Amino acid sequence: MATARQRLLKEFKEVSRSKPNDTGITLIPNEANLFIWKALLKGPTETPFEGGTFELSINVPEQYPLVPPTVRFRTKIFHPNVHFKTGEICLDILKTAWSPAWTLHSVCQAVMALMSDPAADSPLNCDAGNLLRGGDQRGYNSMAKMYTIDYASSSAAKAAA
Amino acid sequence: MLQELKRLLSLYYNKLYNYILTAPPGSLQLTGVLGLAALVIAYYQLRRDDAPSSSSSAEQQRQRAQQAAGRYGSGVGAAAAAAGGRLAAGSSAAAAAAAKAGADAAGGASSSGRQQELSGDPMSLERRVRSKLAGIRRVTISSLGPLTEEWSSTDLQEGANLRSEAAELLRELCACADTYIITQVQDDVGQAVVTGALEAAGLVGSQPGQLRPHRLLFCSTLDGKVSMVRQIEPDLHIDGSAKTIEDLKRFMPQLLHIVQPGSAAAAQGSPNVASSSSLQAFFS
Repeated sequence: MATARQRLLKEFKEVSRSKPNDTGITLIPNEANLFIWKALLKGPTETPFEGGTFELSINVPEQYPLVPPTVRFRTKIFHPNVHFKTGEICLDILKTAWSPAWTLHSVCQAVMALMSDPAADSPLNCDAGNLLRGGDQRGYNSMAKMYTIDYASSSAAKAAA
Repeated sequence: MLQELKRLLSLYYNKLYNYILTAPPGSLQLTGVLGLAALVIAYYQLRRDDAPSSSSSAEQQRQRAQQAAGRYGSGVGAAAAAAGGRLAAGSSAAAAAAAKAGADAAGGASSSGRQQELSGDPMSLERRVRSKLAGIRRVTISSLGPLTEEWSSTDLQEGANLRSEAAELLRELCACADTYIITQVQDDVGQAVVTGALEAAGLVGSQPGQLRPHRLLFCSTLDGKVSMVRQIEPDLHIDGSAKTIEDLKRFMPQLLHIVQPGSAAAAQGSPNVASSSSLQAFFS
């Protein structure tokens, strides 16, 4: 517990120093609880998520950094490795391939990399996976763009607030 | 015109008055409250229908309705207050406003109803679409066949021709349900001609009765279309492809197959699959 807190404080200081404009990642800890964070990710350019802002919820366990944080999409996203309804993310580093060297910031970077390069083989969203596996990039882009506009654009964020 | 309107209103008023006089005392409060609610709902329906019409004719209609309300509003208001029974004094102003709104609505509704009788149209397209789509909130349409004269993505290379009757139907669909259009195309040319045809008909935009631009979806495979429909989870999917209907029949609550001339209706015997020769035929 103590190590987790120290580690998170250190990460918080690093995050405060970095500029979100460069990385497209904004990490914000809960005011009352350092073990609950939210992250705002800018949709990577040249993907159907471009122009959207996606919110992640990050719950850090007490054994952190020995065990990975629990990360979910709070913003709906059409992606083969994200469950459309729960926001659960299928990413190896958040499960078996976790290493204490990863930080919350590098986890966010990995999630952004996943947004650019979806892995259609082990889909949590079968429809998104099937579109990509069937070679229907046009259909995938069309759907992902529609949901980005519906849920992740600034006007959608205002409507939800 | 105004005279007829007034006569019609007074007829309704007398009927209502007689009914209130003869009704048993216990039912009076309930019917009063229900009636008031119905009037308010009717008023808001009217307000919404008014929006797209030109401002000058809407203004005229409002003036006409207000004149009528001035004459009969107090009567209806009194009836409503009497029916409402024990309305607190503080809320009487609100009740009067609601009654006036109700009279407004009654004036407008009766005039439009009369116009419809005169034109001899038993049921407008809007009402037909609404009654067919009762309970349906989300609709997906594959444009090839139902909306365009082309039935396959290869035909689109020559251009896209929107069916003449489809435009009006699509407008009604967009107005009363969350509508998505999916088109299978071969390349950017196909996507551009379909987008162009729909835009030229004024069907794409953010107004009521228009398809929101990002709801115009494209795919390159038939299987991809099935995945997209399954993701969107519509209450009703409309398609011109027999194979898509067959693929979706196990997953969708309702499917409508627009059958290409010369081919057979798909999935016959499935209770959730209907078929028709055209969209227009289905909604008539």
